[in-house]
Amino acid sequence: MLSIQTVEHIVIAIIAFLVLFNAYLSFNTIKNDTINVILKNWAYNKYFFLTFVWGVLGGHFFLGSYKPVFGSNWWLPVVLVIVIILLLIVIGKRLDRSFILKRRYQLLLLISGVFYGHFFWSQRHIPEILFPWE
Amino acid sequence: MKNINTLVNDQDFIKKVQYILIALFIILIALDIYLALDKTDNNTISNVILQKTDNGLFVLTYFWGVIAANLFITKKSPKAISPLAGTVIVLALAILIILFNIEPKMLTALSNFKYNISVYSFSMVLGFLVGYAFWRQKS
Repeated sequence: MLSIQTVEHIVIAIIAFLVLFNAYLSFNTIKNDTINVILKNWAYNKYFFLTFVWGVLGGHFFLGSYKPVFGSNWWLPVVLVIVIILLLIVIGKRLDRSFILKRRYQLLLLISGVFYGHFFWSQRHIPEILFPWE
Repeated sequence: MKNINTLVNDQDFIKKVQYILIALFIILIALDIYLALDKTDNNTISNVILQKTDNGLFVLTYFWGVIAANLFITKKSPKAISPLAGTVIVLALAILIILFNIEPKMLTALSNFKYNISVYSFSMVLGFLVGYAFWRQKS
């Protein structure tokens, strides 16, 4: 049983670990080993699902529409996002090692992720909201 | 400054860092599933971040945008400014946001809007633009 405060401390500890670890990696003598470079190389090669996930999390955490698209089926967007991510991983896995996903498609993945997190998988859904045009 | 020639390309070390990152992702996902299923309500990572942002972490969303530009939008032309200067600009803007207390001001300014435009959409876009201008990686 973890209280909200414990979870806060865990989240802060993980962020602090990542920042310090990345600082160490950028000042050691091995090149291209920072978290930024590794994640960039993953996203541009087979694991472009990362770009989509970053967008989804941004929309899910920080934005979020009030009107649920799927009504009371709150589980549907969760299952759907898992299916989409698994699909992207499977597609990526089949690609060649030298494959590079272009920058414009990265932007497209990021934006579609934000839209998904905002409209379909929002944390701020209020079930009974009426909009002015309804 | 460090001499660039002394940097070595060590694939084994990079592999280890990759494994640390993958392990961290898996731990986070497992922890969040556990938190969602346990008996304490509203203690998932999503909920904690949501409550934090509603209480004043405009800066967190700003960094979301900066990191998005850094990781996913690379730069083909040579860098206009040094990576160090870029990092300093990114951090300085974050400190300015805190010093000038931007979030409450934005919340007040936007409270008159009927359709409730999220304040954080502004900080996300701002972060993305700052990251795009000053903190991109070479492709």
